[in-house]
Amino acid sequence: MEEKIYQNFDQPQENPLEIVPEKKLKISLSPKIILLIILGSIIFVLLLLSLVVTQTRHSANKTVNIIPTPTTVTINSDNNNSLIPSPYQSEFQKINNYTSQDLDLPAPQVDTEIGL
Amino acid sequence: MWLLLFLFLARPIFAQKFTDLYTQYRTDYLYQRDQYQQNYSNYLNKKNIYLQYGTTATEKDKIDATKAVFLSRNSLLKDYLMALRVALNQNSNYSDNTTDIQTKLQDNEKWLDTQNQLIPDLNSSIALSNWVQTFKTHHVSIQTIANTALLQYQINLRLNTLDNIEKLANSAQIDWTDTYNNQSETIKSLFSEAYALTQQVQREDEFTDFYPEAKDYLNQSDIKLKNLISDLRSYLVKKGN
Repeated sequence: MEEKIYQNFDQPQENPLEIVPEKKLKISLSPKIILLIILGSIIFVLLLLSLVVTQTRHSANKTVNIIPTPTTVTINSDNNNSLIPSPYQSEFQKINNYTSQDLDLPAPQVDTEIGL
Repeated sequence: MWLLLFLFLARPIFAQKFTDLYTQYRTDYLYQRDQYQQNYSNYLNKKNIYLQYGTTATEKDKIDATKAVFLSRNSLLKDYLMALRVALNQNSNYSDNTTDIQTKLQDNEKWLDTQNQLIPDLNSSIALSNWVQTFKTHHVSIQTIANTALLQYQINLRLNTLDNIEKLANSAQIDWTDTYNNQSETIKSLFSEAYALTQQVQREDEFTDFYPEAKDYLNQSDIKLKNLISDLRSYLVKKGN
């Protein structure tokens, strides 16, 4: 088997004690491209602003022009009772509201195991 | 002339007195309920301390707290029965059972009063345990009469409504005898069935609550009563046109 001859090139890149910082890549932009980027960002901001203003105006118009929603007409018992001849109305109302006279007396909750 | 004036004035005064008395008893009852809850909380606290340390001093504290909660529990029940008894004065003429129920309520109030005179003399855990057994047995009859009174109050209110319906129909000269009589009989039979549940024999040591079942009958009677009121409205409206 043929022996490889060791060679120490002793180059600075291969010496671990000497770390040479990598060269930073410098992107060079031409002034035209920078101008384009600035203009593009201004246009983008203006577009955003116009969108916000449009939305705000649209919502303000909405609050002014409220579309009337259909309401359901409920027949109130009082109105219904108004059809009853007036001499009988108060007595009828009393009869109709009889459940309001039910007792409002909560039952006592007591522990019968106290003392055991 | 003076007699007529007196009679004219006497009726509203009586009505006002009833409402005031009931309101007063109800307020007393609610106050007593708060007192009971405070004493009950204190009792639980003292009981836990006694269970933790088991000393003579902590046992004495527990006995005192137990006596205090017994006293406030009895007062609470008594105030509840009193409020029910006074409430039953309203529309009491519609049922013969009412007076009997009021008498039983009063008997139980007296029993609770008597017990509150005995409780301060109970000074040992054994004496307290014996009293608890006496109370538990009597508590069944307290619950029975309280729920019976509550039910009777509601029956009387509905009987009064039935009577008012008939009176209004008569004063408006409405001819609906058949409709009224049929409905009225059905409603009254539901009241009878509800009341019959209150008469079932209770076990000595455990209360069987009949009220929810009885309340079902009352709810059925309410549906029929509302229908009758609706019919009356139709007749009255027709009368007005």
